Amino acid sequence: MPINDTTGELNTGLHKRMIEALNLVARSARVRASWSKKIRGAIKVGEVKEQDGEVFGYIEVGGTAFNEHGQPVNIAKMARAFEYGSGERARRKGPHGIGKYIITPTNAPNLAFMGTNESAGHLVKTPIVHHPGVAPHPFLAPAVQENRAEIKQMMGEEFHQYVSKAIRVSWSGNR
Amino acid sequence: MIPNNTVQAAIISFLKSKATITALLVDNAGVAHPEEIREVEWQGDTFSYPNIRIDLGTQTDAIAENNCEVFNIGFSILIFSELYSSKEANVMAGVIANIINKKSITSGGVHFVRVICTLVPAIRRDERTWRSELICRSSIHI
Repeated sequence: MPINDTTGELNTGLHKRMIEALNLVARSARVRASWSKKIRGAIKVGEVKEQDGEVFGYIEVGGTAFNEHGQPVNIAKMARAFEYGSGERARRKGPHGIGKYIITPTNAPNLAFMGTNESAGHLVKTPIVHHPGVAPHPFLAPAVQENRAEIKQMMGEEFHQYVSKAIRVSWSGNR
Repeated sequence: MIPNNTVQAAIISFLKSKATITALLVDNAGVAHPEEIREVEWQGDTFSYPNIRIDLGTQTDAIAENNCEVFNIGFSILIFSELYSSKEANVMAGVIANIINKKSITSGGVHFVRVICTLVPAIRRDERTWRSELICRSSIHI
């Protein structure tokens, strides 16, 4: 049943609740991403918008940070890799598909990095790496899940208050 | 309908015309930035904190049954601060609320009839920024 919110009161209430909801999710996500200073610092509560009678909001994870060598790191790509996993460990098909992905140097003939496993402690130089990807370490979806019930309750309360008030106003106006 | 840009410009000029508000736009170095009242999607990359941003909502016909040119509008006034505590963002939102809440204002040729505000306490927009918000609704006409 469409609600005739002519005064915009319901919309304002839902807008306010949506800010609270986004804040809850962002807080949980920051706690869950506490292992990465870059990702944690890039979680932002976006502005709440209204379009075609719907109120919606979003959490942003993006921007650029710098690694220990002063090179720029795309936080959005990094966050996506950890949220869904990447390479062979991806839970969702990413820009490279599922499976090992290739890394090649862009500014030098070889990639150089400190090795792991059998190459641990050695500087490895190679023109190509078949990277297995990173295991998923989700922080956004669980944050939404953790707060789902509370958000649902908050929105329900707001709607209930509005309808109760509308009935009271209508009732007193008809007497 | 009143073009969005006209409404947005009217709100921004109204806020800029209030010395009580612009006096609060002083950065950590003590430099005043009265220009830091802009639209929320402003694309520039040089700005300072604290700042005020306007987020315009939907405009709808207030009285569909006749030809009166009165429209309902919603907009948000967002206050961003980068201090350690939320105090600055909350104080600024309170100052603005006291100036516009339940008031009728005229700016840029647009009349806002009784602006009703809802004050939202500051939240951490990100790890370094606080954001408080005034959700406003009003009827407007020229």
